[in-house]
Amino acid sequence: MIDVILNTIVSGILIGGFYAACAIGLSISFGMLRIPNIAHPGFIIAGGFLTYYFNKTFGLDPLLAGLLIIPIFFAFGFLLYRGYNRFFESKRDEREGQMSALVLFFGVLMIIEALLSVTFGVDFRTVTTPWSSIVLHFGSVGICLRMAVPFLCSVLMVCILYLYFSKTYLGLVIQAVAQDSMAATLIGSDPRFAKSIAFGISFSTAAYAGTLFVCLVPVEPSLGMQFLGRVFSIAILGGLGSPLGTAVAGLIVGITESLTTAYIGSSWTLAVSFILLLIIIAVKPTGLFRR
Amino acid sequence: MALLEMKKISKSFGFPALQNVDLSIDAGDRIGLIGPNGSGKTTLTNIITGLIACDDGQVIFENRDITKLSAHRRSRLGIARTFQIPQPFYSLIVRQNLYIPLRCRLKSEEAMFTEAGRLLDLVGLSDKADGLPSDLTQIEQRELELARALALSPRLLILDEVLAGLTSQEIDGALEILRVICESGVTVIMIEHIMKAVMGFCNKIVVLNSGMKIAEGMPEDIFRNPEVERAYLGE
Amino acid sequence: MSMKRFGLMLIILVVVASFSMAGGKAEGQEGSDTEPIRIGASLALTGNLGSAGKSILLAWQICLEDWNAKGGVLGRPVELVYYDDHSNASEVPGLYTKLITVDKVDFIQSPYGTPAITAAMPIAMEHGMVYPGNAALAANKEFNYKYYFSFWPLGPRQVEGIADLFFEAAMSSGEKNLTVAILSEDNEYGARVSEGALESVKKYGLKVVYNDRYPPSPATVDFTPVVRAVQNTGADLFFVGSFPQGTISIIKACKEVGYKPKLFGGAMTGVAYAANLTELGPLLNGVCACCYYVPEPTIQFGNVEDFLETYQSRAAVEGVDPLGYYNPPWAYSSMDTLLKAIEATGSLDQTVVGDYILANGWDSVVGKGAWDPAGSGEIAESRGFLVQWRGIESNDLSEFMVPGKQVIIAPEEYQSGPMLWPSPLFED
Repeated sequence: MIDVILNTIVSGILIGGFYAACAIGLSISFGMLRIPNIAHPGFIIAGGFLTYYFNKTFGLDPLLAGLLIIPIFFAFGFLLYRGYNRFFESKRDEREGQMSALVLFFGVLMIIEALLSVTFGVDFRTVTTPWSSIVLHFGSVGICLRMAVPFLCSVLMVCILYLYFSKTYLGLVIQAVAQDSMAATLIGSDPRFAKSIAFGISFSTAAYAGTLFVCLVPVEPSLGMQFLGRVFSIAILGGLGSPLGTAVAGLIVGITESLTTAYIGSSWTLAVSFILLLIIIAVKPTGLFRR
Repeated sequence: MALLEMKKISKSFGFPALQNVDLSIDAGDRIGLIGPNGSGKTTLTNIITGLIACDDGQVIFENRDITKLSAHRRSRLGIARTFQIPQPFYSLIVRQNLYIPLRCRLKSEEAMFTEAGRLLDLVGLSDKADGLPSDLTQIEQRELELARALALSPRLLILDEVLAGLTSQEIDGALEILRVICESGVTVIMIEHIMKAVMGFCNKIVVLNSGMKIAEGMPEDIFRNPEVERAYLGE
Repeated sequence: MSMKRFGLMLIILVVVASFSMAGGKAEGQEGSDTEPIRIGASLALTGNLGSAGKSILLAWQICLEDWNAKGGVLGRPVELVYYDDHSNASEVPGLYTKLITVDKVDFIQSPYGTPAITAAMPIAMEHGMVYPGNAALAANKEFNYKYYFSFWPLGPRQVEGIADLFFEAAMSSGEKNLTVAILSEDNEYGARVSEGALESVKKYGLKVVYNDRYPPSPATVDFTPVVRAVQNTGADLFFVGSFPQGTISIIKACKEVGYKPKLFGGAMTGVAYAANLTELGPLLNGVCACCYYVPEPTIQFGNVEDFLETYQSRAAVEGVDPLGYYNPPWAYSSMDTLLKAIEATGSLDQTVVGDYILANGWDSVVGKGAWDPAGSGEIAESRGFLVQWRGIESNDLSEFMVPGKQVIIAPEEYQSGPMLWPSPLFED
């Protein structure tokens, strides 16, 4: 009995870490930069497909291939922000800008799906590695590397981002610009540069989350659209803009889902985690970790 | 030689916010910028710092035309300002709030740490250096705001109602700090409603009304000016 | 500089988007002086059903090429008018209305899959169109449309038939007091599978210890908790009704948590696609699933091998499912039967052609047969069978192209080898 609870919780933790990796970039773009990038899950899937491509073509380990695509995504995010700033942010007031940005990013999401379908086809793709099927046993708890490796990478990603934002100078500037762009400008920070970097980072996390995704389960181009709700809810639950909050929110959702599946029934999984989300948002509107 | 020179500045937001304003500020000046609400003080400040662009005219800082320069570049040249309502970065600790401007001129963590300590000491916040801004009182937040502006090592410092809401004892304390700052070679523009403080602190006063400069001169002369009186007290 | 780049990027994206979302494409013989006969359809060419949709499209194209090479139908070339419905059933009714009223096609083919086929059924009925179905489960249940012809091998018993095969196989082990776990995806398909399984379980007097539905992909990313919940019941038989992503993930999860039921699988879809077979490879050993074609000697359906040979040579080039064991033979037959009826009756009248198909049954590369006399529109007798994989040693596609590895264990008439009991799951 206790074995089942333990195993269930461990499963929840492992998948929760992966959820955090998916949501953290959105937490940065939506929470810090106030850019409603609903195309984020689309970029995750794109990262997954690129990882798949590098793995199949060059035989690279997916975790390594993921590192290689990060600079591409970073540059793309960096430039995309420049364009976004030029055509949306600087031209409209914030609210109006966000509404038109929603439409823009919805379009981007569709375009990504179309591009992926055209380039890679519409089949489910996954990357299997020598370590994928290894299962480690700790007493009665079995941990499969297919789940555990993405979890560890997610933890690492969260730690790096946390340290980056709280310890490095540019990280501090990004935080400052996110909170009060005008005040930050007047003490010498270039908000456009800082936000471009932050958006680049957001995209980089999407790329690597995609890498982890394609290691975990098969993905296909339209998955991004379908994954949108969960990614958004975790980012909001964590308190937008907080890497640690996102991690904790991911774990909460993961563990809740896992326990619900095991003890209430898998048909209740989504309902229970969304009810939980509603309760937390009702009690603490800024999410778990916002200050 | 003038530190800051503004030539024929005009700005319209559908209505004329500033019209042909000329302003010349020498290094070492302590300027009081006064005028009724809506007279264009904030617009003028924003044009100096570069937050908004003027429609017409020229802004020259230390002999350099900065009319088209972006706000963050101007601040790196040494133009700093504080806000009436303090806007600290709430997620950063007090010391880190200063690191952001300090980094523009200092490269090593160690130098930033020392300089941040010196500035916090100056404004009297050294014991709060590792706390969060949200734990500071309103006045302490304003002191942090000042320290953050000073961290740029500014040549020109614009103070937006730093004294509002202080008791007269606190005002004296604050003016004491400002005098120290001025003596270190910082030119100050003070936007203020508390006339006693303006009279006591400034060596020159500029009066704006309805987007136009209506008077400029020594404090004692300004308050004898009938036009100023009209602007302030109405007909 | 960055602005220019952004502009360029936008232009590229817009061009690509408009290209990929472009409307109908017509294909067929050009330069003929006779007006072509036009067949209209929407297909899931993108979205989560895209791989199925694309393989069906290729099968139809091959069929039309075959006919056009012989001089067409009624001496006229045949042309296909098709749209992409993006795997979204809600787009389907609009597309069929457009095909019938605006494009004025002569005949229609159904889209792919139960939701889409059901969605277009009222449109077909309204216009009295002959409506050949391509892979739906009991789509005609509520409609009872006379001219709906389901080209799908499950027969009148539908999914319940798959459950019958699975539990019949389990019963043939002779073991008593077997317990059953039923798990299916929370969608139309899964619901029918679960219902059928419960009915079937009752028939064989087995005991159900677990019965649940999991939220469709990608809501369920991690299947280990649900599989562990099943494992915890200790069920001897694990009957699963899943869509492709679930199929792969559930098989992996079983292996990972070390759950080895005596018989595992059943109505797991996606195991006929090359991409999934090669993904799973040796993990398939011992797993059971319903299939419609495998290269076993007991399978002698019409001239399906010839068709598959053509299909496979084309699929490799066009980047669609290289095996074609699942939809393509039936999709070809669906088109072929329709064209044969037009040719035989010499008419483009829906009623005449529909009555002909109804009376003469289906006849093409998958063989021939009649329609369900009860009027469900399904084929009279099920052609599905249960396969148990064995001896798969690698993830290479060639593993699945030779006999002896995908052994048919039920029903008896197609059986090509003994059932392995208990299933030697996941063993290399």
